[in-house]
Amino acid sequence: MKKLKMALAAFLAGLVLVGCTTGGATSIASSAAGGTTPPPASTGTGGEKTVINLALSENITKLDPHDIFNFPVFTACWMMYDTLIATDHEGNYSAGLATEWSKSEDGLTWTFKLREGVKFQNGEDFDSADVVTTFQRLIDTPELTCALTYWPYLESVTAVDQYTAEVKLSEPFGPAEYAFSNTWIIPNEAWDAEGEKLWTEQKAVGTGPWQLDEWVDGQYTHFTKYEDSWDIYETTLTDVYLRHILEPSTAINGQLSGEIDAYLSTGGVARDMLPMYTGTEDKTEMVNVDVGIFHYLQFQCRDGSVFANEKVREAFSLALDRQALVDYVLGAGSVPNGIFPEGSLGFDSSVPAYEYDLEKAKSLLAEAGYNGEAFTIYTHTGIPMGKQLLTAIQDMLTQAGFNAKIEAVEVSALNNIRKEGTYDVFLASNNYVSGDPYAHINQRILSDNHHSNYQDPAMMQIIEDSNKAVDTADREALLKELNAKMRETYAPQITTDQMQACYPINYGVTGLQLYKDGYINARYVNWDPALVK
Amino acid sequence: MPNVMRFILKRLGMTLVILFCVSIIAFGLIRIAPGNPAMLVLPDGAPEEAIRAMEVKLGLDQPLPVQYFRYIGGVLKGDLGTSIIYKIPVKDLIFQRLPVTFQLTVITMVVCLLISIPLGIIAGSRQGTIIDFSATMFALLGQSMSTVWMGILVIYIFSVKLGWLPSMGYGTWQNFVLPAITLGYPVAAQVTRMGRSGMIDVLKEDYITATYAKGIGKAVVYTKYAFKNALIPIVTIVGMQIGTYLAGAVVVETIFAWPGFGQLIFQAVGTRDYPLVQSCLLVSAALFAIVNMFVDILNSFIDPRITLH
Amino acid sequence: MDKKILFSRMLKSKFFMVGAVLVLLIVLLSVFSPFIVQFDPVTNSLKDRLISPEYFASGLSGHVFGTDDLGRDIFSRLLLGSRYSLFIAAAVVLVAAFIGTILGAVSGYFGGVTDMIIMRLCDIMMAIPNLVLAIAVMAILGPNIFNLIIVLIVTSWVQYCKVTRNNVMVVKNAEFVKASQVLGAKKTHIMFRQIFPNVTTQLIILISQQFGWTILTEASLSFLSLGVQPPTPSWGNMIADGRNYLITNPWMVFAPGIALMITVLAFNFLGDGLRDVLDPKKI
Repeated sequence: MKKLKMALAAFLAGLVLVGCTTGGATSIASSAAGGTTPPPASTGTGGEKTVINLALSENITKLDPHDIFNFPVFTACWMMYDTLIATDHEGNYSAGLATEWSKSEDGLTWTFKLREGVKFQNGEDFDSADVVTTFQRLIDTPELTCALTYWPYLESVTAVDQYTAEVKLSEPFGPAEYAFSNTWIIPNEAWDAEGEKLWTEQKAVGTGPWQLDEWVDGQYTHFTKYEDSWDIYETTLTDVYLRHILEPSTAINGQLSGEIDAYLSTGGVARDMLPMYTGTEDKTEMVNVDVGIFHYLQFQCRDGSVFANEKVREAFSLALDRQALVDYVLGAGSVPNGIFPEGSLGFDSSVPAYEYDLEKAKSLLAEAGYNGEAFTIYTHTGIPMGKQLLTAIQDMLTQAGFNAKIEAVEVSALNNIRKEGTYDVFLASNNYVSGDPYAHINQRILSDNHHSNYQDPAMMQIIEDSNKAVDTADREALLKELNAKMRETYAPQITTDQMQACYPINYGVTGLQLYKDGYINARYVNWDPALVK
Repeated sequence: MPNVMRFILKRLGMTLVILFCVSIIAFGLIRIAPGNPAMLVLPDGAPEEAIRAMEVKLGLDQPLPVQYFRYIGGVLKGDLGTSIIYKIPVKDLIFQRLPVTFQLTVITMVVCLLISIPLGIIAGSRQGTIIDFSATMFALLGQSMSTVWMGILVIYIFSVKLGWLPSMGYGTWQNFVLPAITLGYPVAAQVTRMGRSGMIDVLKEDYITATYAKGIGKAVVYTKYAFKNALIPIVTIVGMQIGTYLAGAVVVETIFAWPGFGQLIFQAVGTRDYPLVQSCLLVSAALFAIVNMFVDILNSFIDPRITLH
Repeated sequence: MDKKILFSRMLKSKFFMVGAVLVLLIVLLSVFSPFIVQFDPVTNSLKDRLISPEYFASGLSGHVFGTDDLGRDIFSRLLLGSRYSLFIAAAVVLVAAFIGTILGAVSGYFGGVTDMIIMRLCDIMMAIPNLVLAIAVMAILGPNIFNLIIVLIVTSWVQYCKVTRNNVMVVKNAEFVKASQVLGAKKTHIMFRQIFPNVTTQLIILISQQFGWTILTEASLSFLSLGVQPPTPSWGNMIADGRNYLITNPWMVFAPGIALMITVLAFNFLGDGLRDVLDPKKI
């Protein structure tokens, strides 16, 4: 028996040993790694709410403001960073860290008058050196998402004086203000001292009213108030937690039990889940926003492909009962009239919505000589509502006489399929940051990086012209022309819906900016006890 | 103890060989999978030149053997690589997630054994009674429960309908209850059954009858002598399960939004984060091997007839 | 063993009888499901979505368990889903048992280097957790039924191999085998005609237990979107799709969940029963 006890002790010691080694070096999140930190109480002493918990539906994988690609990172960046030009995400621009700006006659040189007296969260003063550091980093590191997405023509940046900076472009660039409004300014001294460690070791600092305290992978991003921010506002809140909860039912249960104050799921909460909130009408408000997130289908138009034929594409589009998709699958939203959703640049209200005509689809298919050739529609598992939409779409296509299979693959696999161009059709979703479709039409249509192999020189010329149109009205006209052309040819993409997001937000939470491009800015989040019912 | 030491050394040596093979398999598997991480660190729809430049930057343009030896060379020096997606050392990521999973595993196992061992003993020693029947049913049901179904069921009952326990997240003791039940029930079921059949077998043996003759009480006989015999298969199974759970119970972690090791591996495979996948598999294989080594040592203490070799 | 004895034992074993009857019932239901179902399990009917269960109020022609989020009849999907779940499990178990047994028999019979190589292979396979290995292989092959079967085979053959090897090692040293060796029988003859019949009992028991395991793992993979693809119904993906509808129509999860539980339970009963029936100690 003694031996047995010893053996058990040895076994337990072994377990503890394993535990210790795993609990050893925790440089990312020392306090949370032990796992003993309870979730912060929603109210501080005296009943005043000091902590707010916002649930987001995606993870953050890094906090580099120039290398971001999902919705939560935008939300995190708005908490702590600033841009030279601010935007309302509906095409209007206002002063940010720059109080005034002007562009030269040829549209190549942009001059910014900078705000004075701004301090970074590490105490560093903001001046033109920081602007230079930021844009120089984009010039030096062209593979950063920010550089790739917004800055094809960035040439140089100079500090004219301490509070004046100048950015030079190599080509006239229509969406320049949009690009400036998406480029967050980083501090030069901290960057020189730390470099990439700013993001890899959680030392990121900006000029916004909230500063990063800690990011715990898969759990939360915690911000504390930065009192010396130029943009500070009156609030009782001292801590903001962005909680990354991937399972929707989990997040909703969290809100029902009071652990979450607002559930800001990308694209909103699926309508079918809203019954879970039954009985909480006096506690939680359902805020509906027409977000510019849309689903689109891209055709493989290579010679020999079924979809090289315009009639087949038209039949495909006619077979889709988009109203049913919106009403029953998504539960809300609207039927689009092209690739520019309402609220984005290029939206043309005079164009009618896509048509649904099953009989016409069948006759077009017969005319086109389609003989039941099988094809596969791909999507990836991360597309919101993608699988459900595709299952419904497949059924609609079958009724029209198409022989469609569907496959929901991992995002990496879909990337590969698109790179090789080995798809027939794929379903994806997108949204236009600040309502500007520049990135979408350039990367996915003009450069054809997803390899639809659709060739239409006239269409491509329109896109090129729109990029160079420095005057917004000219650009808008060109984009409308592009939309008309795409509607006419059903190539290379058609859209299926424009989503309406539903965000369940508890009464009392104020100051959330739910933008029409699907992004969420919680920088001015506040708590008003008077609103609690 | 020299015997044990020799065994441990031998086992560690063998583990190293297995780990080496696992590293090759992990390296190969994730690279055969279509798609590569260079495309995921760039924005969706990035031009091909950018993708190629990123591949060069990440060293993915090198021949596979070069990439492998670079990686394994790093591992030998204690460097598990840098995550491509997170851009932070893999070691940090793993050490952040492992304790979370570790806590869940240990709590699950302790609770599970506290319930299932007495249950197994009682059922086995009272064969044919209502208690025995209930315990057997409890066990059979447990072995037939899909984690997926079980997880959703307990959320439905305890969170949605009764509102007693949180259905998600991590932090307080309440958060442990539902995942631990889901994870532990099938193991508890297995242990109960093994305990039961072990008891039944052993109670028939002559030496047990002999102990009665010596006037030793029933309770002592059961716990001290009879049960000891049923312990070996139980320890083996529990060891196996601990190893598996440490590698992450992906499904349970997904259902309960539990930020554990399994989620990390699942996510890493999805994003083709090569260094992260490779090192996660290596670490989980190593943990599995270590736990199993302890199991063998423990078994040899329980039953001296088992020799360590 | 005498057939008569076997038969009488079967009748006596409650586990075996319950398991066998249940399994038979489930197999029959799934085989004849096309004649039972009244609705196309794949075609959407968006206007009829999320109808509450009618149970058997209007017999089989109503939506017994209601409809899912795309207006498909859950009962029909459940029954046709059983065909996929059972087919996958059967295919996996049989192929894995075949591969595992051969390797195990070879390993146990020849011993030496062959044994060492095969056993180390098993160790390596066991060192990588099953589900993780399945996730990785599924990522390579892409999700569809055929690949799912391959993945499950890859992760489950080791069990058979180990069991067969250990049994073969024991039988190998039995007197009658030694006798044939002395008489100059061929190795293949000894292996398949003399040793193999003596290890089948364990194998049959293992197969019936693995059946349940395979169904459960298939469900886990389908839950992680790595298994059977829509619109094809399988119990795993029905549970996964239904989990967001626990409030609106819990039967979307309950129906496949309970079906899964009963099926695995039936196979576990059968496995236990078989052990009682075939156990040589009880003769």
